Amino acid sequence: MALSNGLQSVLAPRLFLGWLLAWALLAFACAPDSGASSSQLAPSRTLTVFAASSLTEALVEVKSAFEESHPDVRISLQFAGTPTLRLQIEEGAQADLFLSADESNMSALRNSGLAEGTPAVLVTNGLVVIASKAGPVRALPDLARPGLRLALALSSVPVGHYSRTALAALGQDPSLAPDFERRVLANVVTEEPNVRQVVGKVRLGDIDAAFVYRSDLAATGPDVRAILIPAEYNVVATYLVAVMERAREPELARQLLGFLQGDRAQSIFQRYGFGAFPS
Amino acid sequence: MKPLPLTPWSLLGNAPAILYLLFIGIPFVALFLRAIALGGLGESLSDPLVLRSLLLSLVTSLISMGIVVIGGTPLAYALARSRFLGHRLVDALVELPLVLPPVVAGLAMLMAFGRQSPLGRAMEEVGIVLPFTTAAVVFSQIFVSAPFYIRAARLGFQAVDATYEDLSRTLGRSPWDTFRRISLPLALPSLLGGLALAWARALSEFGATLMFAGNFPGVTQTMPLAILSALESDLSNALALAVILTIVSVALLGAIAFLSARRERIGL
Repeated sequence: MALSNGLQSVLAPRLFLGWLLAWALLAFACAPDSGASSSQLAPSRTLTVFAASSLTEALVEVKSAFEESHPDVRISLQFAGTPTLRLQIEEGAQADLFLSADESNMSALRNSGLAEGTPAVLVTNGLVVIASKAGPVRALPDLARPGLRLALALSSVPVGHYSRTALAALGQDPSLAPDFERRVLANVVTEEPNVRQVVGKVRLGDIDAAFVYRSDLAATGPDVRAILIPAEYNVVATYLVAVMERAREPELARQLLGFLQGDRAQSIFQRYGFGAFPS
Repeated sequence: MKPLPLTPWSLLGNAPAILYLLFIGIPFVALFLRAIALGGLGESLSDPLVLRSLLLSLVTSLISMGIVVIGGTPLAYALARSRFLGHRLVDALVELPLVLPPVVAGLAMLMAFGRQSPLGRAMEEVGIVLPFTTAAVVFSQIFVSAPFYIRAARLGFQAVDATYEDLSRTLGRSPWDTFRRISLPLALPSLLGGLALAWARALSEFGATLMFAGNFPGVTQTMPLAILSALESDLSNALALAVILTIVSVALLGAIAFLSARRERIGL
C-alpha cells in the first residue's frame, strides 16, 4: 500500500465525493437532450438502407437525389458484402430496405419472413477484369501466366461466386489455353471479403489483376486497366431490393423503393455502369 | 490478502467493476451457448479448412514469438539498462505499433515491401517476395505483437536491482554470465507475462494480415481470417471457429501463467 492509513482516511471522503460527481456528470451527459435539437428544422424521419458494397458510389448519389425531393427524410446507408448484411439483419439489425447483390441471400431473408413481399429487381451488373497498369496483364490470356498474383472475392460473396462462374465459362473458350481455368485459379493469392477490398488490392499495385463488377470501374482510377469479358462468357448479376419486415418506416421505404426503380435513380445507376432495370 | 468488507458503500463503489465483469463475461457465455446450440462443433474441428487455419495460426505465431524473444530481449535490456543516443526515439518507435490501427500497420508494410516501393522491387530482384505469403503473416504478427513483449521485458529488467549485477561483475563474472545468471532469472516472470500477451495478440492478429498477407486457405488464412471468411457463408462454422480460437488462446495463456507461477515457487 502506497498510502498510509492516516492519509487514506483524510482522502477517502474527498475521493468518494469526486467519484459521485463523476457519475453524476456521466449520467447527465448520457441523458437524452430534450428540446434543444428537436426544435430545429432537422430531418425528422430516418431510413436505414443496407446495400451491397458494389452499389456504394451510385447509391450515395441516389441518396442525395431522394433527400433533395424529401427534405424531411435522412437516409442512412450501410455498405458491406451481401452475406454480412443478411447476417446482420438475421441477428436483429434494424434496416428498412435491403439491396442484395444476388438472389440467394434475398430469398433466404424472405424464407425466414424478414423481407416483405416479393423482392423487386433493382439493376443488373456484369463482370470485368481489372489489372494494375504497371503489371504484366494486358488481355485475358495473360491471366494464366504462371507467377502472377490474382485476387478474387470469397466464393461465398456474390461477386466471388460470379467470378468463378465466369472463369469456368471462359475455360470453354477455344481461343484460350485448354487448362485456362485451373491456371488462373493457381495464380489466386488472396480471397477478399468484399468486392471493394478486391479493387483496393489491385489499386495498391501488389495484385496484378482481379475479377470485379463492371460498375466497380467507377471506383478505379487511371492506375487500373479494364479488360472486358465477352458477353457469351460473362454473367448477369441481378440485384434485388425489398422492404424489410421490421422496417420502422415501411411506407417511406416503399416510396424509396419506387424511387430506386424510377427514371432518375436508374439513370444514375446506368452512369455507374449498371445495367438497366429490365421492364 | 484480506477480504473486502461487504457494506452498502463498498457494493455501490464496486458496482462499476461488477458491471464491467458482466460486460466482458456475458458475450463469452453467449458465444459458447450459441455455438453449442447451433451444433457442429465436432464437425468443424474435423473440417480440413479449420484444421489448416488452426495449424497455420499456431505455426506462424510460434515462429513470430521465437523472433520476438530473440530480437526483443536484448533490445528490452538495452532500453532498461543503458542510455544511448536516440534512446527516446527507439523508445517511441518500439511503442508506435501499440497506438497504430493494425490495418495501418499492414498498409505501411505493403508500402515498404510491396512492388511499388524501391525496397520491395530490389527484394523481388533477388527473389524475395513478401506480400501475400506466409512470411507476410509472420511479419504482421511480429509488427503488432512485439511491443507487448518488449514493454514487459523492459519493465522486468528495470525492476532488477542493479546492485546484484554490479556485484556479480566485481566478482569477475562476464557481462553475459551476469545477464544469464542474474538479470534473466530475476526478470523471467515479467518476460513470460509479456510473452503471453504478445502471443495472444499474434494469434488474434487480423487487420495487418488481411492487408499485407491477404486471405488464402493454407497459406495466409489464419484463424481470425477463417472466422471472417466463414461469416460470409455459414454462421455456425464461424461460431465454432471463434470458440476454438478462444479455447486455444486461453489454454496458451494458462500454460504460460502456470509456467511462470512454478518458476516463482521454486524460487528462481
